[in-house]
Amino acid sequence: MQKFNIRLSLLIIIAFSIFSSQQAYSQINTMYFMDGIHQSNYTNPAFQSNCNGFIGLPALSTINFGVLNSGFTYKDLIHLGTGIYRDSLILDVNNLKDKLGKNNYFMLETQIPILGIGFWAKDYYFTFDISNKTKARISYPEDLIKLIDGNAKYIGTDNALEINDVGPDFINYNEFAFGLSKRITHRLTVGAKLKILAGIASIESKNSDLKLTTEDITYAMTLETDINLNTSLPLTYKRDEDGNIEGFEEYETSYIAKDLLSFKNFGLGMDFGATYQFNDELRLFASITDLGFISWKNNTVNLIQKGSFEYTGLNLDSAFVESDYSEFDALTDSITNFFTFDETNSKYTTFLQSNIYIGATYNITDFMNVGLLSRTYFYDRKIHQSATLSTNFAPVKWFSGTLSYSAMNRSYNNIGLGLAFKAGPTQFYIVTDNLNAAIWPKASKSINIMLGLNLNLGCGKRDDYSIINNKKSTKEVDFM
Amino acid sequence: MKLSIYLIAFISALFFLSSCEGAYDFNTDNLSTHIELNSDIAIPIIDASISLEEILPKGDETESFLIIDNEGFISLNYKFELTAVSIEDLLKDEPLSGSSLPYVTYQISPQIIYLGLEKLLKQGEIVFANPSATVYIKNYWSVPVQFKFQDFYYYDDETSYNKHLFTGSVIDSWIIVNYPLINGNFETTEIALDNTTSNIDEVISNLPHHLSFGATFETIPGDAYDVPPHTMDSIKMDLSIPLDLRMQNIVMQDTIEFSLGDSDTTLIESLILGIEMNNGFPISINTQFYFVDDEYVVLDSLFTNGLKIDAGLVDINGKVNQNTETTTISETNDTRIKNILKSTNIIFKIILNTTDANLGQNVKLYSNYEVGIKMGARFKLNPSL
Repeated sequence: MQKFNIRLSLLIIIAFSIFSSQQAYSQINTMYFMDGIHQSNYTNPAFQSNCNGFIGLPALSTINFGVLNSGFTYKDLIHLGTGIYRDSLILDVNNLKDKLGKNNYFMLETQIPILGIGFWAKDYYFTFDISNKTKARISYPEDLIKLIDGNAKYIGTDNALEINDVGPDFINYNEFAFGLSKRITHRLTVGAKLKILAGIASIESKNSDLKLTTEDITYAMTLETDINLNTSLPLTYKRDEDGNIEGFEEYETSYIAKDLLSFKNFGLGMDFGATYQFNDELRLFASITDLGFISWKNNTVNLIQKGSFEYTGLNLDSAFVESDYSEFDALTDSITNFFTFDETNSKYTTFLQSNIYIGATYNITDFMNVGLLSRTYFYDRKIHQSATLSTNFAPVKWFSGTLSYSAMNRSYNNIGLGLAFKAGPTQFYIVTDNLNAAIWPKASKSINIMLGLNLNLGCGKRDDYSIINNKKSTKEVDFM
Repeated sequence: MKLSIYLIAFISALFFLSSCEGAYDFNTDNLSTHIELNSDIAIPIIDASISLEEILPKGDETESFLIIDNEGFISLNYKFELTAVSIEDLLKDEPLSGSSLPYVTYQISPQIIYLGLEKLLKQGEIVFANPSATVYIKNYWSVPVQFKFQDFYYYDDETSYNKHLFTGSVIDSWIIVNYPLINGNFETTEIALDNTTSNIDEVISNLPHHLSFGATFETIPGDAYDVPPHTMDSIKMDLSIPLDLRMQNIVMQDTIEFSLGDSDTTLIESLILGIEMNNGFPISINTQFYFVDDEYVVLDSLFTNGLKIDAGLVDINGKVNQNTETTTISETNDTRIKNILKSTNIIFKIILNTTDANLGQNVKLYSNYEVGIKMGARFKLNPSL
């Protein structure tokens, strides 16, 4: 009965995860269940190394890069035509529209390690990581792109086109992460990570809402805007004589080190995680990462623009009255005046893009298991869901691998791969959720890859988190 | 181990095959300019609100022909400098002084006054309520004379055939001309032509091409006289047409060349024009644009049932006291667009009527009257382009 319930629960989780998969990104799902890689600890702080120590070399231990266009692929937009256009590439804007979700994103995320250390002290596994993280995002709602079809379907004062949260979001910060994990019981391992954050640059679209109303009969248009943009940049603004921002002073490269080590924009973050060995075969996982905030105080600029702009057509009466009247100039002036931002310099807070992971692995053989992972990613004030099914294997001590399938970014053709090779204390690994992006780049919405070179010390002496040692581990414990 | 080798071999094969299929070829040199769009776009085109005051000529320009009183009521005012007659012309061989002024007469050559009003009217009827004219005789002759119009006609066109008599008690009578008692001074005589003294309302309402009249000066003999040489009499005329009128079925029509080229297709598949008019003029407008071919055969029209703009409502004095709003939607489908593409000329026809003209209501035009138009267009782009 218990097994039946577990299977039923798994089926429900699989179904929910696949059918609700929307957007997930950057931190690579395939890595979650990879065996013996220190970087798995980024996704669940309860993960422990089976080596006595770990040293992550600056810039070498992790190169994490992800870029995503969640709306459409290159091939959706540009592909060979048919009929008389069969020898030409065509710009297929109609096909593009069909591929979009309600909210779509261009995203770029990177993680550059500066230092990584992991070591055991008695039964505690400690980690310390310093890394620089960048997350950039701009959204383009489906309705905005579907304006290619024209605005006619939005005619009527009670049928306005509303476009929300279209503004850019960008954040760059240094993260100093102190992690600790411990096996509490023979089944349960827990871990937590405290992250001290030093913000370097931020652009936050607190509000970026547009509403376009098109009247009946005359089709007069009213654009209502509510834009609130917060910035904290390590740059000096250039201002005109009225004090309005008109650009940036040239950045002095000598300031780089000072800006990187500054804690003027201070933040805190937490990761929590746990693993639970349910029985000989089944292991459960749960973690929450990047639960935190950064308070931005340095060089802050808050730009606020809220108003209404009406365009009702060519203003012919002015053209009659003023001989040198230019409708284009008048319209340009009106729009320029309308998009004048009020500026303040208040501090503001941004929240990290949190993740919730829930997963399970089931041992098939001594050296292979299958895993299912649900990831819930929070950004843009929305929940983004993905799911990954993987098989994880470690047939020999010097090699482990993972093959995965993910439903993410409204894309259902993501085959992931992770490979890790050991040679003495060195370990090279490479992981991606989108191997197909390398094979069929035109048909892929995203590219994410994490690779690096680790130094692992005293490996094989511990077996806390290891597939190949799992059998040995379970033998020592009477689970049932 | 074998599994790893198989896996790496399989992935390598996939890379190889996909690269053969051009998976990494992002060259867009052969990108077609053909883009299939099905856009249905609605945009505002015009938003204008124009008052008479804004479009009337300003400043000095108005003094010669437009008079706007304090309440904004508008009159057309024409000023015509006519002939001048010297005392030598009048007296001919008679001396410039003597104990008894002899009887002499002088025929003024026909004076022609061009109005050009006939251009305003092709069909229909227009009636001006209170036109008036004043003839001024500025007299430096210190002798008593009298003046009489002769052969005062108004003409339908520039020929001399279609003429009608301008008549009335003032026109048909001798008028005593004021004269100065002291040499070097002058006296002015004003001859008022209005509805009570002439048929001027009939004259102006017929929108004449021009007026023409002759006149005679004759002395009133008997008294001693002494006139300095070279003294002149001059005649000028002011014509005032207050815009207090009624119009019925006034038709304005013109033809303009129009061609969208030889193409039998167009960027636009269908078009909807939405028009909102706010009319503060006491004039209704019924208009239509006809698209015609070289033989002036009508292929189609812009509006299905014409564009009708109702006139503003007026009070008992003929002044607008309530604007009217008219909404029109005109749909042009692909068939109509094809007809438009074939056309070579547009005939536009406008029919004007003042408020309740059929009931005999006169209306007055004020400078603060305004008309507002808002027009938007909704068009579907032709996806086959």
